[in-house]
This record gives sequence, structure tokens and C-alpha cells, in this order.
Amino acid sequence: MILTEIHKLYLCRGSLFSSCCFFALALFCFTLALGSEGVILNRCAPPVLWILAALTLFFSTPFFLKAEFQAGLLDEIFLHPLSPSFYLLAKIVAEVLLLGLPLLMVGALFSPSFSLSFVQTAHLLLTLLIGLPALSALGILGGLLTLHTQGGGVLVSLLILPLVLPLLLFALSVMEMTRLGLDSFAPFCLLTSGSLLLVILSVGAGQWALTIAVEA
Amino acid sequence: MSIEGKNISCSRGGIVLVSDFSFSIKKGEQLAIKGANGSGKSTLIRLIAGLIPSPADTLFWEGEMVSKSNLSLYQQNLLYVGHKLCLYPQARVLDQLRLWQNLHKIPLKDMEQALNIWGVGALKDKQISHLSHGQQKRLSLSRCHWLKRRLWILDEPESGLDQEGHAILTEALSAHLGNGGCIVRATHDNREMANTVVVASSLPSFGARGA
Repeated sequence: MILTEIHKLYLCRGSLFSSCCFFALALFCFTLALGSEGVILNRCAPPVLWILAALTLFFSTPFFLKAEFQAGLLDEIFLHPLSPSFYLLAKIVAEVLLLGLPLLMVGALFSPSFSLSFVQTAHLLLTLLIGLPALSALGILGGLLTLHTQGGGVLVSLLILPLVLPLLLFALSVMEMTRLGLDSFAPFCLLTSGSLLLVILSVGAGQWALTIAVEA
Repeated sequence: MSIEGKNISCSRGGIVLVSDFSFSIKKGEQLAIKGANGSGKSTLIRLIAGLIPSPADTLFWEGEMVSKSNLSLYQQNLLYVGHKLCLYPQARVLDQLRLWQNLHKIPLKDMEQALNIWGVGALKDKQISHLSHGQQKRLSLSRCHWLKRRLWILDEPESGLDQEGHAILTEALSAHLGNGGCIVRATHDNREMANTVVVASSLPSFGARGA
């Protein structure tokens, strides 16, 4: 199923490229808007990257899901012997690989513009890597909940963005510890467990949302 | 093999979607569900396929009630082809076959053979969104030949097909019944069909209905 989802997402590579371009363009705009003071750029980099990564995923995922729903592919998933939760997990893996990792690479390319040191960049990208499965899972959940509505992308952000706050706070905590030269192992653990918890809850709720979407 | 429905009713938001529908077919038999547009045929078809939960004690497969606990087992015996064609529009036909291959673990050559039977074998490199509706319908219906399931649940399979497509469909349906399979079909086709139980939906069109 993972291969199927990767293949499906690869077929939408144009949209994936557009999402990466949006992320890159938004980062570029922020570097211009925040000015040239290194301290400000350095402090703003983690929340900016996190929020932009979340918005990129929340705007892209409902689009892919809607295309599948309109083609009747969700019926096929429902009729498959494997539980729909495997489909959701496979979707998360595919999104992290085909959209999440390119976003990380774009983030790494822009890190000098935010006056981030090598250690700060590494820690920031690691927090994003840990948080990506949760962001993807939340995006999929939001997409399934808004399948029958107009303007799904914005609605998903309204519904789901508040759930990202705990992850964002843990990630900012990691970056603050890194900036002060302190041990950031504890907030990393909190971030990892928070991400895992959100994935589990999203997959559970997503299964219910998928059932409702297919029944309707 | 048998499938039976007893007094199936379904309402959603105060609107009656299916009302008191009963049927019984055994192997080699076909159930043709007829009715006006909006009379609930597609809802009934989706209910029989398990995509909409059926009320308790209404749907029976081989004598056993279909419930949440055995729904997956029941669905492994059926092929559902609805109005939505289950085709990925951005894919080429060959990509779609590979997606199905990953999902159902069927050899590619069996699917290519089915495409040739349906007359769309030469379109493997075409993008699905560039095909006509009839060609897409043939591609979708080609699943009947390689997904070996005992029960076919089809929602107006003849819609969008030309005369040649109709002939291929009729042959496929007859062959499936001849091999001991069952078919549940929503249709507007008024031609006489052998081994067919015809049931009409008793509901008026949507909009004229209440709770």
C-alpha cells in the first residue's frame, strides 16, 4: 500500500512541485520582510519554518484527497481487505517522503538567509523531521473532514492549526535550548511523543472520517 | 452462493433513501434494480456493497447476516463498479494498471488481456483524462475480467457505452452468470435478460419524498 500511495503522489508531481515553490517563495518573502538584522532572523526562523511547513501540508493534502474522492478511489480503499488505517499510514509515509523531505531540503537551503548556525540548522531540521508525520496526519484528517465542503484548504487550516501548537511549542523549546547552549534532549523527547500521539489520534479519527466520507 | 435482502430501508437526515426493499438471488442469477432517476437505486447498490451500513437483519450473504464483524470478508467476494470510475485522472492507462497491480496483486498481463477484450488495449500510453467517457468506462469495467469475484455489484454499467461496448458487457455478464456468479445491477436497460429477477424501486424521485 505504501508503494501505491507513493506512486499516486508521484503522479501529482506538478502539484508537489508547486507546494515546494510556495514554501520557498514564502520563506524568501519572510527573509526580505524581517530585515537584515541577524538576531531577529535567527529568532524568527524556527516558528516561520514550522508554520509555513504546516500551511504547505494543510493546503496540499486536501487537494490530493479531493481528487481521489471525486474519482471514487476512496470506495476502492474501503472495499480493500486491509483496514483503512493502513491506507492512512501509507499516505502519511508517502507524503513525508515526497513532500516533507523536499520541504526540509528547501529549509536547509534557506537557513543561511536566517543567520542560523550549522548546529541550529541541524536541530531545526530534526524537529521538523520529527513533526512532519504529525503534520501530514493532521492534514489528512482535516482533508477527510472537509471533503464535502467548498474551500477545503482554508477550512482545514482553521480546524487543524490549533492542534499544531503543542508541537510548535516543543520545537521552539528545542531551538531555545540550542541557542543557549543547553541540553535539548528533554524537549526533543516531548516533541517525539507529541508527534507520535498526534499521528495515532489522527489515524483513529481519520478512519472514522473516511467512513463518513464514503457513506455520504 | 446466495445473496438476500429483507426489508432494507435507509433514511438520512429525515429523507427516505431506500424503502422496504427485499430480494433474493442464487448463483447464476442476476438482480436488476430499476427505477426513475433519484429513486434510490445507487444508494441501494452502495448499501448492498457495504459502503453504506445496512440495518441489522436485512442483508444476508450465503445465509449469514452481513454485519460489521464480517463486512470485510463479505466485501472480498464482491466487485463494485459504481458511477465513479475509480480511475486516477492524472495517470496514464499503464500507470493505472500498475496502481491496481499494487493494490490487488494481479499480474499485469491479465489486466492487459482484459483491456484487449474491452477494446482499449491500444490506449495504454494515453492519459486517462484525455480518454472519452466511454473509453474510461471500458477501462473501469475491464476489472470485471481480472478481479475474480463471485458477486458483481454494478451501477448502470451500460451508461456511456456504445453498441460495441454494450455487446462486450452483455457477453461478460452472461459469462459470469454461466460460471455460477451473481450480479446485482442498477439499470435502465429494458432488454429482456435471462436468469434475471427484476425489482423496481418503489420510491418516487428525490424531492418528492419526505421522512
